Amino acid sequence: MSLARAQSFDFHGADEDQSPLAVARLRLMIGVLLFMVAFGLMAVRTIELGMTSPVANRTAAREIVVPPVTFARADIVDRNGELLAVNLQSSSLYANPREVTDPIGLAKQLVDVLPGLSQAELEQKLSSKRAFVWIKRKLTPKQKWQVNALGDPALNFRDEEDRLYPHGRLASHALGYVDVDGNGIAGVEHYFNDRLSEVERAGEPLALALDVRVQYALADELEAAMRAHQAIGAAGLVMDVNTGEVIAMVSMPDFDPNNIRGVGESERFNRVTKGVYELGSTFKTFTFANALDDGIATFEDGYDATKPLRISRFTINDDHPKNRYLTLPEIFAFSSNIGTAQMALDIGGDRQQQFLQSLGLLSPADLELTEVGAPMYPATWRKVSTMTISYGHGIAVSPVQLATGISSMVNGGRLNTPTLLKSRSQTSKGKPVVSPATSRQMRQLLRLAVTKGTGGRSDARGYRVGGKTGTAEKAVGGGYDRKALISSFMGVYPMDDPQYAVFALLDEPKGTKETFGFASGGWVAAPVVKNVILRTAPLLGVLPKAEDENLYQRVALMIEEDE
Amino acid sequence: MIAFSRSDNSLMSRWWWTVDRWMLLLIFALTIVGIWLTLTASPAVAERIGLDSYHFVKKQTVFLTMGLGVVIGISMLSTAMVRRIAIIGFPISLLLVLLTLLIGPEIKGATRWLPLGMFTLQPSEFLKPFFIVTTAWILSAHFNNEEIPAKRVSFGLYGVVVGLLILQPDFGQTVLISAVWIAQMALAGLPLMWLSLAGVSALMGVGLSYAFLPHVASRIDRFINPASGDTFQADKAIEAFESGGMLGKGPGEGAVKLNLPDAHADYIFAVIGEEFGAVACVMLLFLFAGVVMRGLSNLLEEESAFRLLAVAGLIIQFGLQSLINVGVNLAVLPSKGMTLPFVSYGGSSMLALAIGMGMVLALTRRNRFIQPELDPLGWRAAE
Amino acid sequence: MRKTFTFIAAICALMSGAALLQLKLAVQDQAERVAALADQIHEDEESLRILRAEFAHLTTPRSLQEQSIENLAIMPPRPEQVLGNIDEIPFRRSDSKVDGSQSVLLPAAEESGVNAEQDSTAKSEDQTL
Repeated sequence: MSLARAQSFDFHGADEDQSPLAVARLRLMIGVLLFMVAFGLMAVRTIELGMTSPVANRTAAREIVVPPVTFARADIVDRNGELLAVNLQSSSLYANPREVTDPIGLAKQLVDVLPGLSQAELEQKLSSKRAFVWIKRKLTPKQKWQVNALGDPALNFRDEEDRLYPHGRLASHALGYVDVDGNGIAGVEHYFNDRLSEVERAGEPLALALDVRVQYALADELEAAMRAHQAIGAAGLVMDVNTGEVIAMVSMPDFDPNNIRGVGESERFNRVTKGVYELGSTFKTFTFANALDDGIATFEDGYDATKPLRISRFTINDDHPKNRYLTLPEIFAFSSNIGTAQMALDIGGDRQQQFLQSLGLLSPADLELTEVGAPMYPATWRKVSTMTISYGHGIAVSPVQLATGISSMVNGGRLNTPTLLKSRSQTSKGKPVVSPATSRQMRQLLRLAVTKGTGGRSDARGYRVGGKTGTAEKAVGGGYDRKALISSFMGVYPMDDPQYAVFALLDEPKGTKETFGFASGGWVAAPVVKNVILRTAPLLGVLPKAEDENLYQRVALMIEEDE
Repeated sequence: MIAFSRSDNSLMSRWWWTVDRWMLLLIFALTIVGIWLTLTASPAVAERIGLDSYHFVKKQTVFLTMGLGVVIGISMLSTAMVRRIAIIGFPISLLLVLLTLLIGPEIKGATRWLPLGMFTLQPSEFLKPFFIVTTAWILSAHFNNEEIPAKRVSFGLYGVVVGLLILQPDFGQTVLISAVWIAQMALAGLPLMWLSLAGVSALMGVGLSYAFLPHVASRIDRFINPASGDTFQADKAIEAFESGGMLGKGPGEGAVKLNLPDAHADYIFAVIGEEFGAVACVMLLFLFAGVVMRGLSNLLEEESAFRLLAVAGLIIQFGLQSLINVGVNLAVLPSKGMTLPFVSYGGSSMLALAIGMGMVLALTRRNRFIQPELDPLGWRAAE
Repeated sequence: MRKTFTFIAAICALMSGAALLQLKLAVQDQAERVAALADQIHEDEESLRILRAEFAHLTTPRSLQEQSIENLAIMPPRPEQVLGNIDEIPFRRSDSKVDGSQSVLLPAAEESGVNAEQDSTAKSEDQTL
């Protein structure tokens, strides 16, 4: 501009003597110049903008990928891939009270749509000075649609993930539950919380050893038995004796992990792992195995059970007194406390303690749950302790510990760590605790305890069940309550090739007309085990077949039945 | 190209040998660029407003073909014919502008469009070339006869035109027409004192329109202080240039253009920036500068005052219009409705420019046999 | 000649450029479709998760049992119904008649009468062929 003006001034005087055309041409030249400058400036500006190109987004990814379905927490599935826990999207409603113009009207509308809310509380929330208040967490899709239909700009949704347990109560104690923020609070949800919430492994489900079908059969039978015998609780366990996998785990009463609000302590309590019980005669299995394995007694030996045994101020009685000399198989089959106690004295307290320790019965179970109970036993292992513990009194262990120990007795003598996770190997790699020969003998004894002894009601035809009943009176205020029983049955099948251990326990069962008033393990728990085996053996691939009597004949002959 | 024998004395042949073929080539190049860019820039806009993807491409191809026809057709006319058309066309377009004010629908706060059945017409676009040539005719009269009060008459017409444009209101066209008129006055020998007075009044005009026309005020506010309002278009245009860089993202690859409201029209230069890069933009600027330089340098030997004033006016209009459009795209000027000649989509603007450039070609025709030195770039060398 | 060639070349260049751009736009269209499909797949996968959860919920053993009791009257198999070996399947009695397919192992119902007779004669003819 200044250039043009300066030049124009120079030629101002020339206006008079130059022709108008010459003036025009001169001014045209200036115009050309101005245009050149202007175009030049535009070019410079263009280049300048071009130079400030953001290099970062020059290369755009052309490959189209399907956006992965992401979720914050891995699924949990059973051993067959059946979904046990899954994270699904859900919406939660919140409001910005600062944008609310009519809190009372809005509260009324919301209460109409979401009946669970309180009008007064909502009004208070909506008229607060804050910028964010939760109205309701986890709306159903229909509720979300209805709230959207209200069209109030102060209302908004936040997408959240909701943990769902499609099978409801089934396996609630094994699974546990999560809090509202999705953190595992109990069960494997808690134990594997880090693994489940690991972002990189969210797509990889956690496969448990459980089988929902077996889980349900066990739960169904226990529930029925609990109802029939008016028991206050029940526990059940199915374990693969060769791998230690927990195929089913039931604790009653249970809860729905989808809705844990208002669930009491007794429902949350896992009787299979956290509860420890005096399990009674089942423990004789360990005493016998100990004696046989150490060579302290053989099947041909026996003990005198003519009269109750007295030790200091205690008297040891038999529940089914035979009042005669009993062979070892008879002591086991008839569940003689007197005989077993004498055998324990032969073993000796230290060795007994050492043996039980080797079976993991004196320390908490090593299971993938934080809800594991510590066993209870006398701090000082006196002679009387040795005698009572030999038949399962004066020691309390959890069902899962018992099942682990019994499994090692029948599977060839190897102790497996119990596990809730599906394991890949089918063979037992646990450490040996008794010799395979002892294990074979224990299988004979357990089978005969069913065919000839107290566990007769567990004998599922065709499945060669072996097992031991357990009945203990509940310790109440230093003494025992004769009416309050813990009745259990520990069964294993098929006895010629042990596959699964099935345990059932009823807490304070009452006798019924069908059981002639009895409430002991053989009457109330053994039928549960029998039914569970009948229902699940086909599912688990165990074939029924006629029994090879030769396996037991020699030992069976040692049992002299009175009838 | 098409071979015309120099001895062929037909109309076509005479036209071919006398027309400014360089200018013709530049205009032809611009129209090709225009089709190309409409092809890449408009489908996104068309889809956004729910039209067939190639809606604008088809229409633009028709407009450009018509435009080229008009350019060639008018360029065949004689100087007297051009003058006559302008003198007839000027009052007609003035009437149409007036009609627009009376019956035209209001679009985005302005009444500029006249619905004519199938299509709409923007008469103010046609007003420009006719007014410029008419002004040239009036002012050139002064060269021959000092007694004629050419400047006053011209000023009167200018007042009428600007008044109508302000009523629309059309700030961009007002500025453009004012600038061209002042330039023509300057070429016609307006004393420098008057010129500076014109400058001052132009500033005052801007000041007044800022004060009284909210439409203008908001645009200027936005330009001076982007935070004061919606600068979405300008921001997006800058983003487009930056995303394109020097070499561009490639035809059809533009991402910012998808969000640029007038990508096919006023903001097509930004689309070029994104897809073809700053280098291509500069090349396009060279094309425009080439038209301006070629057009103005042709006049340095011009003896006819009318031809000089008319061609200079038309070329200045063309040059300023492209500069303003590019300036808006580069965010160095406030936003106004100004198209990029021959490149932007738009029927009225295209045809009006075609008329203007056709007139330029018609007025610069000469016998290059006789004056070969006027063709220093040596078109004939290619023969 | 050279001019004609240049002219034709220029036209070709312009046309192939336009064609290329068409192709490019078509490719972009297809890419958009693929992207839309990818989104659809994503949504379907999400729905699949929900449906899988719903399936698990609806087929939980308890409801299957209830449905079965209500509609099927099927009981768990008795041990004697479970056969582990093909050899345990008894041979058909040689004098029993068969309905339709030979793979049906059950003896024909006595009351099926004439039709069964005809079927079995047809069958025996087949066998003789």
